[in-house]
Order: sequence, then structure tokens, then C-alpha cells
Amino acid sequence: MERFDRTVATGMPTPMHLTEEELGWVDWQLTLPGFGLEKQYKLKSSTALVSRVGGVGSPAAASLAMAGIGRLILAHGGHVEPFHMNRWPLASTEQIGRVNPAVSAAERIRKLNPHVEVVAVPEFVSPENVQRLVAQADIVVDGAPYFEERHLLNRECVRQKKPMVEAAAAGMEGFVTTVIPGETPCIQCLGFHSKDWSLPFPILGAVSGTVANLAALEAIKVLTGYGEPLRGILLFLDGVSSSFRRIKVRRNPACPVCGDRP
Amino acid sequence: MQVMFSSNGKLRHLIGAARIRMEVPAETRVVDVLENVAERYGAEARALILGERSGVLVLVNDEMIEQSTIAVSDGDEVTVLLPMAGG
Repeated sequence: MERFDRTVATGMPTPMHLTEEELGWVDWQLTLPGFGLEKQYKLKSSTALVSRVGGVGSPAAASLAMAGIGRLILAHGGHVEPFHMNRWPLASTEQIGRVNPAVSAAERIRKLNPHVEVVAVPEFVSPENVQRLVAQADIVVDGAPYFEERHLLNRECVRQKKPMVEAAAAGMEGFVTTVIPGETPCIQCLGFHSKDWSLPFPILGAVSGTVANLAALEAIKVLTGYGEPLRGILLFLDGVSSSFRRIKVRRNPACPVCGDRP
Repeated sequence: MQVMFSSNGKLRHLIGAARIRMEVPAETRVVDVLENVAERYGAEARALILGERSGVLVLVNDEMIEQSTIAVSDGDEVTVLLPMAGG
């Protein structure tokens, strides 16, 4: 393979922020047509908040770290539990019952890519911390298992005009969409809620992991401007038939969160 | 005319298939298709499709619709997408 000429590709010298060692980490993705140093620098300059590092959040955080994002804020309360282990690839057996999931994921991510700054927040997103957490991020990846928590993040992202990748998985199904406030529908526009939703829900780790990596891909696209994010599209995964549906979703002008007169 | 109905999650399991074909009269509306499925698959299906405990996305040909009173055409696919929050 022809080596990537960093100077020619961007027309500028290698940014000081990206050391040769860091560039070595992402060498193969720099050769993606149209990606290159400029996009890598954007990724390096970005912070993502990942709400919960479970079946969706932990593989998404790992993919963002491996891609070379600059900073990750991982928010998750409680401890690693045995029933998490079918879908949480960043957790370890010896951490069960002892270690907080955000701390566990942060430790593992630092080993995956030591150039990423990882902040472990051992709390769930709540009305008390949501404003502070979203304010520190350029993008939010939402993998929470409760509608209330998802809507809380949605409201704050819309209020702060921060993009949010909304990803969920249950059973053999999942979906991903990207909320860009003022441009795309928000979660409230979709009307997703359920008073009957409860834990535990059935899930296969390969399904949540698939959704997670699509969510990471969305975040990378939004942060770098590379490719086409799912603007106004909800990508639905049917794991039974291994098929996807691209569903066109609309903003609700009367939405109480992101509407014309919220 | 014929339309398809598709769903996910618990509703899909109640129906026993991801997609079913339905024979409906001309001038059928989306809401008529939903009523038809709710009638055919029982109270639990009715609660999922038309109940107020969950917010569902109703689609025609993979496009979100705002009003379920719009008419369907021969060959259309009506979808009820149940919400999920698994992470």
C-alpha cells in the first residue's frame, strides 16, 4: 500500500496535537479516501459524553477511543454485575460487584488507546448533573436503558444545541439516529416512551454491539464532517433477518422540546 | 387491495411474523389497518398499537406519518415501531 503523505494530503504540516505515535495508532484509517489528517485532527479536538457504558455505550466508547477521539466522558453509576457480562466488552470478571462501570470502562479504554483523555463519572445522568455533563461535550452518545434518562439528555442537548446520537437495542432489534438540534427531529418528536418498559429486557450482546458501533460511526461522522450522518433517518436493525430499514422521521413543529415555540 | 403490515418487538412476537399481508377494501386508512390488526391479534396487541401507555412510530413505506387518517394504497406497507430504550 502506498504510504499516506500527511503534508500533501492536508496542505499543512502535521498538527502539533497529533504526535507521530498517535498517528501510528490511526495510520490505517488516515488512508481512508477523504479522511486524512484534517478529519483526524477534528476528532482529536473533540469530546464525547457517553451516557452509560453498557451494551451500547461501552462498545461505542471503545470505537471512539480507537478512532482517536480526544476526550471521552463516561457516565455510569453502580457496579459491574454478572448479568452485564454478555454485552459489556470493557468490563472484567474480577471487577464484578466491586468496580464502577465508568471506572472499569475508563481503565480498559486507556489501554486501548493511551492518547485519549478519559474521564470516568461514577454517576448516572440525572437532573442534577445533566447540564454540567452536556456542557463539557461536543457530542453525546445516549445508551441509557430508561426513557426518562434518554428524554432528559435529549432536552438538555436541544437546549445547549449539542448533537446527540440516540441508539438503543432490545431483543434482536435496535436503532440508531442522530439528533441535530434545529435540524432533525429530537427524541420527543418521535414520541418514543413506554410506561411498560422495565429491566431486565432480552438482549444478545452481538445485537447491542452492532448498534453501538453504528452509533460510534455516527459520532465520528458528525464530529469530523466525514460521510453522511443519519439526519432525519432512523436506522432500524432487524437482527433476526440481518436487515436494516432506513426510516424517514420528521421534526414536529409543535414539539414541546425542539419545536418552533417550545 | 393488498397492504403489508410490519412491526417489531413484542408486537412482532404476538403476530408471529415480522410482516403479514392483508386484504383491505379500497379507501382504507392507516388507522383502519391498525384497527384491523388490533382486532385480529387481541387485547395485548391492541394495547401496544393503540394504547396510551407507549408512544409508537407509525410508518407508511418506511416514512413517519403525522396523521393516521391518511389513506393507504395497494402495495403499501404500514409499520408500527414500538419504542425501545435498551442500552
